[in-house]
Amino acid sequence: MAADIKHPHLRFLTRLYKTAFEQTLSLKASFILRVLFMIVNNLIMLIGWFAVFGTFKTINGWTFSDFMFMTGLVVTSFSIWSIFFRGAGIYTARLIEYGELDTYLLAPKNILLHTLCSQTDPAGFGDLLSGIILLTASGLVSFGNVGILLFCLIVGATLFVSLNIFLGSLNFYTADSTDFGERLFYLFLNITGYPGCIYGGTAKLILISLLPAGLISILPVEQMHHANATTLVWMFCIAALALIGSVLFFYAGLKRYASGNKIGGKL
Amino acid sequence: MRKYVTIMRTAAAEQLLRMKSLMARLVLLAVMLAVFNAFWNVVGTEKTNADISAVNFIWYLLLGAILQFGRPEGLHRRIEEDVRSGNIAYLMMRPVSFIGYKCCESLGTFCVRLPVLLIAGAGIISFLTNGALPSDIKALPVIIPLLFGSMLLLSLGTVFIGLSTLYLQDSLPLFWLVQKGEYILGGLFFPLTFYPDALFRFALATPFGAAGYRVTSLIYHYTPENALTAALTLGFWITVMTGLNHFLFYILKRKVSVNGG
Repeated sequence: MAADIKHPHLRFLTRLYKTAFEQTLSLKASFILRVLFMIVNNLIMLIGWFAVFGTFKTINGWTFSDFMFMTGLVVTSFSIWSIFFRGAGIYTARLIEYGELDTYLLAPKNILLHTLCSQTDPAGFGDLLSGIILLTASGLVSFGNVGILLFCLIVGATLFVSLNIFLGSLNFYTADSTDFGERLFYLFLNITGYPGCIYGGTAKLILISLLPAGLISILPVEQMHHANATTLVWMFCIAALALIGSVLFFYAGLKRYASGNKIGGKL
Repeated sequence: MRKYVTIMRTAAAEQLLRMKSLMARLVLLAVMLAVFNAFWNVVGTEKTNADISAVNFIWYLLLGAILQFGRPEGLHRRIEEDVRSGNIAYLMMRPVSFIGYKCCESLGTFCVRLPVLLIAGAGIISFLTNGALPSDIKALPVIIPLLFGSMLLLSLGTVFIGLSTLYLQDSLPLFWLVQKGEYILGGLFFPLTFYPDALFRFALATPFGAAGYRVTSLIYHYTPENALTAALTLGFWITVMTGLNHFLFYILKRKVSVNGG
């Protein structure tokens, strides 16, 4: 099937994903275990919030439905990164740290695309399933706003990928930044774990611009209730800027890359 | 005993060398405290049975955050690699208990991270709440040793997850569940009093409640009786988890010798 695709990048990506998925599915028991446990893991967290919403009923105007939608969106966006672009982030950071990027540099393919798409995480499928369940159960999605939902998912996934390209590339500039980058990623995740409605004023402004976690956790819920074209354009611009910025950051860093002396091969 | 102190000292020295990692944790802690503060500014105005003030709430969560950020990362992953690669066969030959070794590593790391996180966290909270102090700040000298007990219990739990690789082949899924148990049932995300009564009681009966809420809530609910209950409950669960770990390790040792390492 991959051989029928004319575009060289698409053909390459199809083959890369095929190999990555076959590798993941080769350990069936581990795959099923990770998918199931990830679903349970996401639901446990929701039970805690269900109890909190049971106490407070609404949090700054948000109901449990809104929170379910937000969590569903975060988890689904995360899963797109996790399934298709898992190579961005810690994986890239480690390649740089151990001087193992050489094998990618030697391949006659786009290096960023190659590293991004060469990894997949089975737990991502669990996130994807639980995300779809949460989005459906939230009751906020209808035929009228499914387009906005898809737009928000693309924005969310773009942000996760951009952030991981950026954090993974930190090792080009300063050595031993893998753990630092990982912590910053958790920071982003932690912010998106709380209902977006708790942020107001300056905090909200920062979260929808400089540290755009609010593009996943604040604005989508508002857009599902009352869509606003200006806000959607703003979301698109910030996500596009984040992606372009992170790609430029990666290539600027690549010029500083010092090759390792480890002998190895990569398919 | 001296060899375990040496392990702790080595782990602590290693932490002092990894300042960048510690700085990242401080940034994360600062943002988390700001998030907690924002959360309380919204929900704190509503009347509930949660029975906690804003400053108590943030201090409570600071102690929970210290337990989260104070532990060494990837402990279960390293044990899993040792079990999978057979490297554990060589570790067994060392004249120290494998479980004790891993726990001392955690405690050594915590020795460095606890004061840094506590002082920085107190400064940030002071900035956020105009210098207000929690109701029972005087209980801090009692809480700090108990936090070490909590860290020991959490480390024993993580070692158990790592050793479970023997049966599960992949310890990560179990780690996710336990981590969420710590957040939800341990009250590291919210005070357990936010929950309905049945869930509150259930959480208290778990090791998560013993390692988390029972200790961290002393910052605003201190009585000598509460502190004693927290210490005894911790002692109970530490004993249970030590027993379980040794049992699992005993099975592992037999398997390793059967398979030849």
